[in-house]
Amino acid sequence: MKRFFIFIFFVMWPLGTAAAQLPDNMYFRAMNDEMQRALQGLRLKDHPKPYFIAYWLSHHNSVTVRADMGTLAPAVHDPNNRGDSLVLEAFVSVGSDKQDGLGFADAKRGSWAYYNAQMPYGFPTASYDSIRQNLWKATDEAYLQAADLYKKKQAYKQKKNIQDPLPDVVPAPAGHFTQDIPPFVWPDVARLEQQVKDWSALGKKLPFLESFNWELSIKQMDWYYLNSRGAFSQYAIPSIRLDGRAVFRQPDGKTSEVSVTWWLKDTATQTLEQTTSKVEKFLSQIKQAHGASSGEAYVGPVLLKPAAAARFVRNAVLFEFTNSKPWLLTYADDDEDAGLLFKKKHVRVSTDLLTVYDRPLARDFEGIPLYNFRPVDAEGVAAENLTLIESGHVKDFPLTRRPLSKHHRSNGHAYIERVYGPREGLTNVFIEPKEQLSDEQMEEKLRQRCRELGLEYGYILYKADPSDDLGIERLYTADGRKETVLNLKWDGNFFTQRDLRGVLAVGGQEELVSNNGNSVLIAPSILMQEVELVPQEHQPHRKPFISKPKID
Amino acid sequence: MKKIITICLTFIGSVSPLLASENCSLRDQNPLRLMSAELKRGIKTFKKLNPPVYYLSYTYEDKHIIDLQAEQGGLLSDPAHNTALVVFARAGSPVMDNTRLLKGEDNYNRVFTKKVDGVDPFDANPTAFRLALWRATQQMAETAQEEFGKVKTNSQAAAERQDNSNDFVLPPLSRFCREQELKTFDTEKISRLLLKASELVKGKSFVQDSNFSFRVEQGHRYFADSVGTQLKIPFLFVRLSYDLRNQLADGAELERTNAYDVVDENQLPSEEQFLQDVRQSLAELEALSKAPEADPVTAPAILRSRAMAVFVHEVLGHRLEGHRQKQDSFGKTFTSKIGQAVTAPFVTIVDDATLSSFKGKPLRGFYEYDDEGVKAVPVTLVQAGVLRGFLMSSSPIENFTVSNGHGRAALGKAPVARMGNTRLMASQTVSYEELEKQLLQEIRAQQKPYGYIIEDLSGGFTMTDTDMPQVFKLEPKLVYRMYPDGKKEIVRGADIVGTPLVSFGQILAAADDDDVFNGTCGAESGWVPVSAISPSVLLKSLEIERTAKREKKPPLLPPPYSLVKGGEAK
Repeated sequence: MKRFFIFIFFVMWPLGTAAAQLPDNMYFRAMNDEMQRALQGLRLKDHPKPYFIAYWLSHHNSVTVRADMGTLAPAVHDPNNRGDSLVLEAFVSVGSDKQDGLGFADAKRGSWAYYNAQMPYGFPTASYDSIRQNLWKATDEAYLQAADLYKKKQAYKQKKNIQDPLPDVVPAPAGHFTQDIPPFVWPDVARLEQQVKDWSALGKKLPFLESFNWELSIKQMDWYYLNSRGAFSQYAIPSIRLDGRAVFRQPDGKTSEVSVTWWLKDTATQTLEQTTSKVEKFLSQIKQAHGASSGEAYVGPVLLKPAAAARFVRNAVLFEFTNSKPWLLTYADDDEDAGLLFKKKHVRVSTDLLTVYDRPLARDFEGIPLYNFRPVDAEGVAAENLTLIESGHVKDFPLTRRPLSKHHRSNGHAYIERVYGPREGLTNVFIEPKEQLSDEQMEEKLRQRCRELGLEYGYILYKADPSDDLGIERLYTADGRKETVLNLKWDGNFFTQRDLRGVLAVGGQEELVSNNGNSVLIAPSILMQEVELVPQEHQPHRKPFISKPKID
Repeated sequence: MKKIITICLTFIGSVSPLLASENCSLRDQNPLRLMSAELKRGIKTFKKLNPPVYYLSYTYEDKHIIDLQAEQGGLLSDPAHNTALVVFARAGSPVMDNTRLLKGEDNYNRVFTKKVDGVDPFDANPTAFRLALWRATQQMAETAQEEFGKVKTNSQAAAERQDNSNDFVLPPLSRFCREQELKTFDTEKISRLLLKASELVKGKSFVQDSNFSFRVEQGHRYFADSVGTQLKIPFLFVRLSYDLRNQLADGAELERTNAYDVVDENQLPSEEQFLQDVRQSLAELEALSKAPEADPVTAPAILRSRAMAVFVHEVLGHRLEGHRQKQDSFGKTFTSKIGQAVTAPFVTIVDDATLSSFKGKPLRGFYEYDDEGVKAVPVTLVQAGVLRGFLMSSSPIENFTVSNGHGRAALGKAPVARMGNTRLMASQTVSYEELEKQLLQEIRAQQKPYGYIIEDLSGGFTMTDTDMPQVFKLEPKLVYRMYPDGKKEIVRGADIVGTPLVSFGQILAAADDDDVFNGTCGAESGWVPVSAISPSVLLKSLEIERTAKREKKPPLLPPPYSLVKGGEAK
């Protein structure tokens, strides 16, 4: 079962590429039929009819097993308990390419309808009608919003005397991508339950642990996209995610909750064995954190491990690559979400020790499927991989069909935000080092820098939030000894582009640190020249009224 | 919470008349063994704290769900197995504790319980359950102490209470163990029935939304408290139902629903009967879609059995809940009316939660022990038109110092007095046909252009807070006008409004057609299953007002399903 599961996901990927014919299945038939009906008949009196409609259908299948301290959670113990739902989203625009209702928000509302409907799958009865019914409601809702915003946008532009020489939308060829959707193969749940149970039972080794909870989710999301310009895509994204969470009480009474999230490439025995080693390492980190001393104020070099490094790069520079075309807002003079880096092409914004890519066409990282594989973007344009920063300079940036001055060609990077319409966005971001350095070499560089500065120790930050009780370690200059410390936080905000220039080294093992719809980030470690850390005060919690029960 | 929203037809099904006697041993029940051990381990220490945590209770629920839903020929199946542990703690003393409502402050965001989902006491090594129990108890005890501090401060700062009864009376010790094997259902057969029914909507443009569902909730609740009570009680809710909706261009929302509460698969309606009922409801929805809108009037009216049952629940029932006689924030409409006539002398009203069925229909408000572990007893609320009692939880009120087993709550909420099976009985009855004749006579006598027959309603709400008008509103879904010549005409958009003292004094006569309304009642302690039973009743006068409409237009295009040829109407 397991091997078949792996085969389906990884071998079938290349098979379905390059077909440009609309797939003949229930989903596309329902979308196409309702789209044609809406384009022809949907019309509010004195308002323009829709000129662009896009539909997304995503079918989710999942199995989740969870255990705490060696006991399976009954909520997921039922073999019949499987997630199975279909989510539908509809997008409608009115007007024309020259002038439409998008790029405008009134009271933080966009012309976009989010419609979530649970519909049938895997049953012998046809669900075409049920999908049509929900498409009908979503399209109507989205059209009413679009028509309303179109009128308001025209009125607002007139009132403010806004005249844009550029059209609202420029043409682009329709993108196509079709992959045969593999069936979701039901895994060997009993085996996975036993594995998760075993991982959680390791928590019994530490008598101070109150919870050691592990949750393994195996999912497959099948995506179906169709727009009224003839673009479409169909593909599946599998995912195996493991979440661990531990709760323990520090000797001073403070309750600590620490967590990890890992993505697995498969559930093969070897992968699970490797994961067991990681779980044991997590447990040993918790052991070190229990009763660890509080850190003191520090200014000096800090080694950011991949999760912290990714957060740093994202906040320092990645946001500035997104939402480049500012929106007209009735409630604000400026669109604060609009990124400005498209204005800095060829300008140096970073150290030259790293290169940053956005790869919507990347399907995996070291065999782990990436969530943001997006061969066709939200405007129906074929997506292109981009090099965002190279040799410290801005090389490229996401573009959509909404033209920026001097940039009129979409590179397929339009992505929907929940409240707005399609905007410039990033998908799978890879931060790669210029030269290959091992983790040991990165730590040695930290110690070397500390020696140069006469510091007894430097710090290694593991988490984006260093106040996490597993977030920070002290690395002693003299002997390379590591010691977990607690209660330290950043002083102020060091996530600026200027900080990106203060990087001493980039390297170490690259890791997938985030893999969801909001962001997919792959990052190495980054050695920062100078970071200021300050002690974090906290109120100790009350000690338990009665002692913890004895664990068998 | 300013209004008590009651009875919702779309909610889950009926309680079975499960075995009446014990059939298991409390000693063999893992959840009870673990919960009692934790209570025993900690209660002495908790009672010595300052302020003392003087009472603790644990509830564990193990629930299995079957959920089938069909729409437009598609089927969704969503089975689940849910478990939850709830810890309830009282800090202070029975005279004054953390559960007392604060005067002049927001009480609805206060925390009285701690709920933990997904823990298993049945595992051979239930470490996670024991740790969760311990942690939740600690958290709840801390919260209760903190809340008690607020209560003490508030009791000194706020105005004096009219009823200074204690906050709690310790419930008597109870021990009861009953279990029932999980029932199985032929879900494939039921799915086919739902799908077949959903096909009947095809080609009907007056149906914008439809849903055909079958839902089973079954399992056991375990209860243990620091008094020593231990209970294991099975529950079973089974409902087959459907819901057909339309929205008109003027925003009016129309609905026809039907529900079949059963305790066994063989009690479900036959396929032929079910499909016939759906066809009938479709015909009613089509008629409603073309019907004239009701005008605001007062007129004599018949409330058919199930509609009258909801009337009793809303107009009287909520106002006879014990805690509403105590808190000064409530209107206390009937608090001082014990021994006084409140309705017609031929009317008696009881709430009997121990009644498991009525005329073969399972009652959803059936239970034997309430959510405070107190055995339910039948309560006579009104006898021969005279008010006799209140529904009591373990929160005493003046002259009513003990619980009569009506402390109820949704899992995770703190119990208050709630209804179970509320029944209106008439000592003088006539046939329904005779009742209609009496309606005609009343219409003519009052020289009204027409009267009303309220055939069906989906629920309603009543307001009991003193800073709001003491009014109720019922939402009929199928209403007929009856003209002096006996002609009947279906109308839409008629809501019933009124005030309790006036409305309940309007009963002129009752029929002999008692029937059951099974629903779910929502109030401050959450949603609980209830039943109400009543015959059809003639009211001298009923006030009708227009139903609220949606501001939003119905969809511009007709439903795609209505374009599909098929269904029996084509």
